[in-house]
Amino acid sequence: MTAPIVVGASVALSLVLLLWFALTYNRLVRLRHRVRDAWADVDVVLKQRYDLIPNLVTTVKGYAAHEAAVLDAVSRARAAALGATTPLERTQAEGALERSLRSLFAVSEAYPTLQASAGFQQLMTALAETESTLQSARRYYNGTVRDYNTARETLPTNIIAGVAGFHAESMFEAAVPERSAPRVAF
Amino acid sequence: MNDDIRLAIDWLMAHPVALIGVVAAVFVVVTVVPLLALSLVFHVAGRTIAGGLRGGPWLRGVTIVALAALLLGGLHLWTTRTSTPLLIYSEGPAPQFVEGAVYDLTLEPDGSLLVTEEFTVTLARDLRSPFRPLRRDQPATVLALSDDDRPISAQAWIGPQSGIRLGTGVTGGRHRYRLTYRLPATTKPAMKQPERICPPFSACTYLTDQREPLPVQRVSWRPLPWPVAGEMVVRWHFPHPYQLETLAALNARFTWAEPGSRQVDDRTVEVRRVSAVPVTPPPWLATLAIPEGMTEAGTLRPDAGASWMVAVLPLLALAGAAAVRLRMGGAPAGLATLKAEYQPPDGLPATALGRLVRARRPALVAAVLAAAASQGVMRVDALHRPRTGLPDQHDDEFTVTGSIETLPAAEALFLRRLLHGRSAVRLSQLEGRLYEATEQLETDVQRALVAGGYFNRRREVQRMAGVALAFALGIGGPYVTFYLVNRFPTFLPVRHGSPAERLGFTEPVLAAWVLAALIVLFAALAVPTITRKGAMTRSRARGFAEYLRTAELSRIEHAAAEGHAPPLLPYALALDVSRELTERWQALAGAPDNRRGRRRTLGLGEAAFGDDGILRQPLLMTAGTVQGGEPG
Repeated sequence: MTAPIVVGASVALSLVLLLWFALTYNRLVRLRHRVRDAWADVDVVLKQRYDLIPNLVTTVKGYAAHEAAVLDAVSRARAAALGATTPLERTQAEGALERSLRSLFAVSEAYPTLQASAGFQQLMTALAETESTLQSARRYYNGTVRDYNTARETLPTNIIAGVAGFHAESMFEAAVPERSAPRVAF
Repeated sequence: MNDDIRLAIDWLMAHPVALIGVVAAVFVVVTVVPLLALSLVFHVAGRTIAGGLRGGPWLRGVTIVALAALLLGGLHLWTTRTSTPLLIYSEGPAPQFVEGAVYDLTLEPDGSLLVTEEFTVTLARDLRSPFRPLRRDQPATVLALSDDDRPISAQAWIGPQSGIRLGTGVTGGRHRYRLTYRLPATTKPAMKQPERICPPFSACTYLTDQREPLPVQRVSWRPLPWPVAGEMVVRWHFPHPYQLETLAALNARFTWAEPGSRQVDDRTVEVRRVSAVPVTPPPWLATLAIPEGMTEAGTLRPDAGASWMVAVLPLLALAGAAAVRLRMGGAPAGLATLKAEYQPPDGLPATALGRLVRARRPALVAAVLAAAASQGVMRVDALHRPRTGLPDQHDDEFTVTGSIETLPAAEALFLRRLLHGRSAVRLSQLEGRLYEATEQLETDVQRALVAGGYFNRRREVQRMAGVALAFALGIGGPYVTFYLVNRFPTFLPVRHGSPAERLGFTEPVLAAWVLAALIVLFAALAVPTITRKGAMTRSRARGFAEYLRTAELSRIEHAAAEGHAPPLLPYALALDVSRELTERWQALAGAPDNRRGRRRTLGLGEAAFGDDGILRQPLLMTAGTVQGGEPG
């Protein structure tokens, strides 16, 4: 009498476990796809911004040709950012690019004619819009990473995540200079 | 082996748990596994077909309909070879038909009936076993059977399909069978209704007016039930004199007798009937006024023009095209996948997005108040106070601090209706006006969306036109088909002379008409309210809700908890991003979500309206105060 009960219970438990495994696995897959989709969006926006930088450099060069060092730094930082693939590499490359762009903006402030040119203003507007979209995309990406990492690190989902090889995703952090408090010198 | 199975079954019956396990396992094996396999097949096939299709939704829709038509056509061709096709009326149970039959019946003195049948049957295909059905209560004893004068084995059996099997593994074509069998107890000694009229095609005879030596009053026997396209001759041999004076007397006993029937001798009667299966419409169509003579088989000619597929496929394609066209006039479902949006689509206000995603009325009201608060034209003091949950503690206040005209038109109009020309209004005193204003808000938002092309303004017209077209196809189509079939013989090909088969050639067209009507009808009923543009915007609104839920919710909730109304708060409320947030705001300014009050509402609406939507009592709680603002 006990043997059939044990067999029946084992079969039922196995079915339940199988169902739970399938549902959890599918949920993790969905979350991972959300992360990848969000990263693809970030990538698109970043590329839009990278496409604007050569025009910006060219425009500035027309008014401040002797600021070659700053312009070269921007170009190098852009090339490095284009070569980055992972979110971690992108974070570091974006930091360098941000610093070089700030230098470029600081230099451009010394040239009133450049500031007044329509092309420069259009580029700055486009950059500002891209930056706004990038912030939203970055926030969304980080939100998806948060949901995914939370799911894969909490019990009992982490068992499936470990077995099925769901690796942790890294956040796309803001550039390092943005985090530090501005220092004001009098 | 059978004993083992029986023992196993007995053991299972004695152990319910094991029995349940076995039943579950069998269920899984028999149903779940095949279903999973089928779903996998359809999934792969669907992806393959959809991935290989080119062109827009219109072309894809037509292609899918054409593929379905080919599938249906193939199924039809297949089903006609195995059984009576769906939706098709047929007098015979199988594609075979009898070209002619001679029945020789001898009524024995003991009441049994010795029957010798000679009939020629044309089989449309190879059959595992032709079957001569008999009445269930008449077990037969087969005495002899030959096929084209070659003796073959025969078997008679009793069951749901009692009858005589005419050999096994019979090839298609013409066969001339000679079958002899005996039916015991075919006579009944008494008749309760001697004047009863025999049903068609049943041979019953009443002998009460004869001076027979046997106490026989009725003999039961039936000819072949298959369609007979030729002459049937039935020779009755009675064990006593049986005299018929007139054909009328014969007809009174053999209802299907025709001229040519005769008295052979004083104990023998020969009944003749030339039978043809007419091309009759299905029963549902027979109720229509089909002109007399249109359904006669003789109006059809064999060996006419093109295949019936030529007639069926365009009809199906047209129906599918109409369905797709109607569908395209509305909104294609599932064209847009969920993708995160970082801005409100089309710059629409929160209430409009809420209406697009079918938000409830309290959500719309909350979105209006939050929009006013986020733009700085309204202060929501209630958010600063802890909530006690007691009705008399709900002293929330909404204070208008600026011009509400900066809000979108529908939302500003809603607030103006609340103010109603007064400088300060307590929401608890509005009663029915709050409900009306809320309903008007929904109407205004809906109207703005219709004007913007997000909702279909011609939906009812399209639906009515579709339904009318469906009726025209379903009723007029078969009528026209029968007219064409009987008036113009070349309309359909008829390669064989069987009336049943001639009827069969018309059936696919009838089925196509019915199918087309159904497709158009369902497509018409499914004409969506939302337009293609609206569906796309709705999808983007859901993408925006996804963004808010994932990236902005914590910031919105944090700001709301501190009494602020960030710009994205109205969207979060309208799109129901956070249940907690939504419920808190709806509790502040709840409104009835519909007049009937079927769904449970929060705040004001629940207190004010009964299940029938009639205002039963004043609002119980003090929900807030609106002061200042623009007079209405």
